[in-house]
Amino acid sequence: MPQDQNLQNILNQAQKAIADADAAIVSSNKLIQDQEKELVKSREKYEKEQAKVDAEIKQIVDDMDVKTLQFLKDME
Amino acid sequence: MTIENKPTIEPLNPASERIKAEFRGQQPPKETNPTVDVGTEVIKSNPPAMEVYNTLRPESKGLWSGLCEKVRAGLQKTDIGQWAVDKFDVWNSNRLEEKADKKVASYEEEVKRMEQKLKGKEMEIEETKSGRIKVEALMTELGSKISPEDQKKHDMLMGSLEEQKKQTETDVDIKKKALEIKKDKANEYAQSVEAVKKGIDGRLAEKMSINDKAIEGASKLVDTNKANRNVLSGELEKNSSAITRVEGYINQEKPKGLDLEVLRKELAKLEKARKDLSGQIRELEIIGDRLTAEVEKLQGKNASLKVQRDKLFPPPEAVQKGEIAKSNQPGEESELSKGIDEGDIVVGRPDGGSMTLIGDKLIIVGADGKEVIKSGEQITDDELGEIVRSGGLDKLEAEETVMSIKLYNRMKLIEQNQKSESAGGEYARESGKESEAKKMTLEKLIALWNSYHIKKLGREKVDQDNLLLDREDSEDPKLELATEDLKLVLQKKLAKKGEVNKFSKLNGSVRGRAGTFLRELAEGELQTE
Repeated sequence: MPQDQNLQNILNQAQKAIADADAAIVSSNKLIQDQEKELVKSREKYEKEQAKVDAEIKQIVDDMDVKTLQFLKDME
Repeated sequence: MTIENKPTIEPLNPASERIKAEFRGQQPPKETNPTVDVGTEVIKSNPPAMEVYNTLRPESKGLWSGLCEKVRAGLQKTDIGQWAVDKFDVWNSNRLEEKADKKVASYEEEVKRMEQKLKGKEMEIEETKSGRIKVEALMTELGSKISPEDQKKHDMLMGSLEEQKKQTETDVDIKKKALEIKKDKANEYAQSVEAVKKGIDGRLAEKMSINDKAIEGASKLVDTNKANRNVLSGELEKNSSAITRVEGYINQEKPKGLDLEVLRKELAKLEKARKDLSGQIRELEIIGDRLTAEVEKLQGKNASLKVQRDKLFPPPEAVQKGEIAKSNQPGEESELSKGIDEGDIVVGRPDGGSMTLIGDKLIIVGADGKEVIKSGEQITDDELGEIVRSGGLDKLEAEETVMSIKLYNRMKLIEQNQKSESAGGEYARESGKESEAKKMTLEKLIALWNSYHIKKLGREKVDQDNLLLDREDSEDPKLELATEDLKLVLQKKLAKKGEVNKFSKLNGSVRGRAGTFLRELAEGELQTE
């Protein structure tokens, strides 16, 4: 164990910096994972909602095509 | 509800692996996209429509096909909103209206012709009746009578004429009913077209709203990502300081033996930690850039949806042309201002007039009651500033009011500037620097941009990404830039640096960095000295 107090302080600072960096990286990885999960969840919800509206638009378009063709028939 | 052959690329079922890969900046796994056979008839995926189509006469089929040419090409598009709007053009075609008008006119003509025929029959009956009366009178005068045979012949003729009249009356009624049915069908169809226009517009508005929520969510992730990067940058600074101290001790004190060995071990650990921190920051940057690109992509989608909605319900003609739409007489209320509702922003002005923001349109009513309507670029920053200052932006956000992204972004920037100014701003926070806050020079902007990125990314990364900006000889280093010019000048310089003619053509990473830089600058988070 070093006897020099200055050296001891330097080593303490170094060890703390290493430990804090490790903790920050662990925390950051956890955050990335959480964000990843959140993004997947919100994207799934987003795609589901958009698909629902798209399906409604498709239905509107299909119905109106039938009406238009029927209109053409009526006007023959 | 069936959604087979849906002409959109957005898959109905989410692909979690793809999303995860995108989040991490990796190449997403390949998907088997649903193939859309654009060569088929536009109604092939719609059996009820196909059934009616098959009963049409050739000329009607020809008309339908002609109208659908544009949409058939549109099926190659992957944008369902655009596809629906193109389809609307088919349903709303003048040629269909003309066909209906022609048909109704031909029926009206037919009714008219048959009514004339009926009139003819009635006259014939009258003439036959009066002929008989004359004959009877003549014969009575001569002391004679009509023979029973002649009487019978006459009765038969009259019966036949009455029968013909009755038949003609029936024919007229049938034709009139048919005419009414045609008119009703034409009206019903016109109403259906109007209803479908609203239906599609409503769905497009819903898609925009879903996008807005996604933008909000992704923006929050961007902010969290940024905060996390700041934490790691702080650790990196601590790490650098520790390394400096360890190295300094080794160089100055020249320790030996166990002390040296311990110091070297710690130095190695610190260097490993620095590498790990830098790697982590880089990963976060990649993710942050992806998220920023996601936000921009969604904003782009909303801009397209707005264009599509404008096609269905075009804005007032003059406003669209970019001119002052209408300057009403005092007291005369415009059609636009009649439609003010809860989502609109009304701001009183010191002169007694008012300003009302309805979507992208600003109605300014002067103290004399005179009304002016402005839109887009016509609306000045000062006017938007008044709206923002009155809390209008918060209200717009709370009400989820539909408006152009450009206008919204302008208001956001103005809000940031107002906040920055009211808080003093970082570059005006120190005493005596208030006047300097509005006097950012070109030289300072470039220096700030460069130092910010070197500090944040390291020189190597900055060089690698070609981010360093230089002042050109032709540029005045002391050129003072107003707050609203900063963005423009920076974007111009970055575009030039990236050798593209527009900032929007730069890759998302650089655009994202510019956005972050300007935001932090506006929020006063950057040191300007």
